[in-house]
Amino acid sequence: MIRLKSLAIAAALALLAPMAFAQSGPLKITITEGVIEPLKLAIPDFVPESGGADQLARDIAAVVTADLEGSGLFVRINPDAYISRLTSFDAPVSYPDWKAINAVGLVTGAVSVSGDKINVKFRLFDIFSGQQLGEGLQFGGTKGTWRRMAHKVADAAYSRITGEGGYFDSRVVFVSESGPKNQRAKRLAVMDYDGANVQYLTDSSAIVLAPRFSPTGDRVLYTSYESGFPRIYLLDVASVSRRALEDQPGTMTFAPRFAPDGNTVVFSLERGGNTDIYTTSVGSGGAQQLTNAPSIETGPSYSPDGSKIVFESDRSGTQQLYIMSASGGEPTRISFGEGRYGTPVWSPRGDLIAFTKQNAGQFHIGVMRVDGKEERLLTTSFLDEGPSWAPNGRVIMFTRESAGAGGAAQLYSVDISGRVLQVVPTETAASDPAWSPLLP
Amino acid sequence: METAARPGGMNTGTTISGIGHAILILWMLFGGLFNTPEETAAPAVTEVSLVTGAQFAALSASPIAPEPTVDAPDAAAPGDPVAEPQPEVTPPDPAVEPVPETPAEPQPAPDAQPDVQPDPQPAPEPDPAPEPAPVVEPQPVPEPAPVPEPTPDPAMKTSPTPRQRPVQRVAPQLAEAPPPDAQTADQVQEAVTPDAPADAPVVETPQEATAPDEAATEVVPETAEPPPEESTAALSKSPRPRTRPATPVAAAAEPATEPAADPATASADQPADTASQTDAQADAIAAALADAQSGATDDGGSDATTTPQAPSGPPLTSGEKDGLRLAVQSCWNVGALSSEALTVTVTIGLSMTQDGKPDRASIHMVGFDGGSEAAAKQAYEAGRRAIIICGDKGFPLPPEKYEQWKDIEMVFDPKGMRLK
Repeated sequence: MIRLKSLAIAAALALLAPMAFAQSGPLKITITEGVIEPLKLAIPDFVPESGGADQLARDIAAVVTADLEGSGLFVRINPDAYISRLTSFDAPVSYPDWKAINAVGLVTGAVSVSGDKINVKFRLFDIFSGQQLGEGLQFGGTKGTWRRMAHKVADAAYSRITGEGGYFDSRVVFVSESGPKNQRAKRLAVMDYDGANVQYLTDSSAIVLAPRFSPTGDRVLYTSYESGFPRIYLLDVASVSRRALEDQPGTMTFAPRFAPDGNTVVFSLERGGNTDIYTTSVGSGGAQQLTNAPSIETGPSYSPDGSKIVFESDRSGTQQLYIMSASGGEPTRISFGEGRYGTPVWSPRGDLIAFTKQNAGQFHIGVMRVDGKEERLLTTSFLDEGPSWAPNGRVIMFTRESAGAGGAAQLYSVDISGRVLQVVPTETAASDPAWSPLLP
Repeated sequence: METAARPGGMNTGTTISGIGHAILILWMLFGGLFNTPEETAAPAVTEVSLVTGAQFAALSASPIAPEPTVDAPDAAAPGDPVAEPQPEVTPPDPAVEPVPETPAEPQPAPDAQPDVQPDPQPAPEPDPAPEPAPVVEPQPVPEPAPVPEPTPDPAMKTSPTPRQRPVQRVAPQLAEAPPPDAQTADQVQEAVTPDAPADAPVVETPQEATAPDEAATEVVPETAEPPPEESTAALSKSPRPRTRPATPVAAAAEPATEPAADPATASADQPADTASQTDAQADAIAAALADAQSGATDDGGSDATTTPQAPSGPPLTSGEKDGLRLAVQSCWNVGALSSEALTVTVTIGLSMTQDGKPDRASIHMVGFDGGSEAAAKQAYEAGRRAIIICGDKGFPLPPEKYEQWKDIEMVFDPKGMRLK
C-alpha cells in the first residue's frame, strides 16, 4: 500500500510540475525601492541672438542653473562634458550626444537685446523620450527684469519635469537686522526668493515683526512697536504707504495673517492680560472674536480653502497646536508630541502644517499632517523658528539664529524631505521670512 | 507512512479481548443508564451496597447524578480504554468541503492600450521674434490637487489566511490508512473530476476523492520544514494595477454569448445609447477581425487567441528575478517626482532582445493605480528612464531562458519611497 501511495504521489507531482513551472504571460517583477538623486540636466549657455546679448545670455543660464540646482532635485552636468555645442536656438537636437553623457533633460535658450528690451526664448527636451517636453516659451521685458525672466524659465522647466508648480519667480518679505543683539535695529525688506534685489520697506526707527504677504503679493501685514505697543499695520508694497489695523486703545495686536480671500485678516489681540484670536475686515474694520479662553491663543493661519484656522494655545498647560473652524468654535488639538509647538503655518497645498518645535533644549522646524499624524522634524539647531511655505508647498524658509552674544539671525530654506537645507544669502542678518505667491 | 503499533504478546491480547468483551457486555446492559454528560464529571466514587429498583429508576431519570449513588461496577476505572467517552460519529458530509477562496489573478488584457502615451507629435516651436515680439506669458501654474489616498486593492482583502502545514494527526480513534489515490481531508467525500478554471462557466465542480488522514501515534513537531509558499497570507506577486477598460474588445470576444436585443425594444429603452453602442460593437467586431487576420498571418494560420502563450522552458529562479529587480531599482530615481506621482503604482510592459537589452520602442504603460493621468505619466517616465538607463548594457538574465523573459511587465510601486 505504501508503495502504491508513493507511486501515486510521484505521478501527481509529475503531472503538476509543468503546471507549476508554467508562466502565463510576460514575466512580472515588482520594484518597490529606488534611489533619490538629483536628475542630471544639460544647461548650455543661452544663445545670444543679437549684439550685446552675450553676457546676458550667460547670466540668465547661470540663474536658471542656480534655481534648478538649488531645489535639490536637479544637477547640471559640467559643460565641459557636453559633446554637442549649441550655436543656434533652432538647431536640431542630437539626442545621442546628450544621452551619452546621461543627461535626462536639456534646457536650451536664446537671448536677444533691442535697446532696453530683452527677449528670452526657452525649450526643454526629454532626452530619453527623444522629444521636446512642452511647448517653447519666450519672455519679454526690460533689462532690469532679466532675473525674473530667468526665474520664469526655471519655473517652467521645474514644473514640466516634476509636475508641480515652481517657486523661483517669487519674493520674500523679511526683517532685516543690524547692530548688536541687545540693541538690534529692524527694518522690513523684500527680496527675490534667492536673496537678490533687496528693497527696504520701512526704516529702523521702530521694531517690526512678523511680516506677511497678501495672497496677491501686493500688500504686507506686519507688527510694529511704533506706538510703544505692538500694533498691526497694512503696507502697500508699490507705494510703501501704510495704515494701522484695529487700533483699539488699551490693546495690543500682533501675529496677523491674511485669509485666502485677501479681504479678511486674522490676528491676536491682547486685552487685560488675556490673548485671543480675532478677525477683521481689511476694508471696513471691526473685530470679531473667534476664541474666548483664559489661555494664550495666537499664531493663527488659514487653511488654503479658508474654512479652518490652525493656531497655538497653552490651554492644555503647554503650548500646542489646535485647529478650529474659520468662524470660531471648539478647537481640536492636533499636536501631542513632547515639547512645545508654535508658529503653525498651513501649506498652500493644504496637506501639511509646518511648525516650530522646542524640545530638550533644541529648536526644530517640522511638518505634520493636518490631523497631527506623521510628524517629521526637518531641522535641528540652537534656534530655528518661523517657517513660511514656498508657493508650491515643497520648500520652507525659516529663521536660524546662532548662539552667543555675537549670534545673528539668518534665513534658511529646507525642502519637505529635509534633505536639502540651504542658506538664503542676505546682505544683513535677517529673520521672519514670509514667502509671496508666485508672481504673475 | 507509519502504521499504528499493535499489542504484541498472545496472552496480552487474550486478556485485553476478554476484558473488552466483558466491558462490552456490561456496556450493553447498563451503558444507557450512565450515558449522560454528568456521568464523566462525577469527581468522587462511594461504594454502596444496595440500590433498590425505585432508587435506580430515580437515578436514571435524574438530570444530575447524585454523587453517592453511582454503581460501583459501572464506575470508570482510570486507564480503562473502553470507559473513555467516544467522539460522536457522524456520517460524512456529502457536500464538498469549502476551500479557502484564492483570488484569481487577473489576466492581462492583450489589447489594453497604455493609458498615457507620450505625444508622438513634436511640440510646436515658438515663432521667431523679429521685433519686441508678442511675448508668450506663462500660464498661471495650477495648484497641485490634493494627493488622493491610494485605493485599497480588493485583492488584499481576500488574501487567504495562513494554513497550517499538514501534519500527521493524533486522533482519539485509530483511523485506517486512506486509499492510495485519495487525498487527505477532514471529511470523507466521493471522488469527482478535477477543478475547472475560476473564470470559466462551471456546470459542476469536480473534486478529488478525500479521506481522513491516517492517524499517527505521536505528535510531529511543525518546525521540521518551512510552510509551502502558497500557504502564506502574503501575496506572492503584486496585484496588477487597474487597466483602462477595454469594453469593445471584450464585447467582441463573445458576441454570441449574449442574445441580441430586439432593435425596437432597445431603441425604445435606450434611445441615446443606441448609436454609440452600435458603433462600439462595430468597432469591436472590426478589431476582432483584424486581430484574427493578423494573428493568422503572423502565426502561419494558427488560431488567434486572446490569452498569451505561456513560455516554455524552466522559469527564472528567485535569484535571477532579484538580479533583474536590483538592476532596475538602482536606476529608478524618484527624487524629482511630485508628491502625487509618488502615490502612483505604474505597470510598464516591454520586450527584451536576446542580449538582455530592452527594446525601447516596445516600452509602454500597461496601467497605473492611484493619482491622476498626469502624475501617472511622470511615474511612467521615471520607470521608463530606469529601464533604458540600466538596460543599456543589458540586464543580467540567463540567455538560455530567453523565452521566459523576452516579455516583461515591471510594476513600479513607490509606496516605500514616499515621505512619511
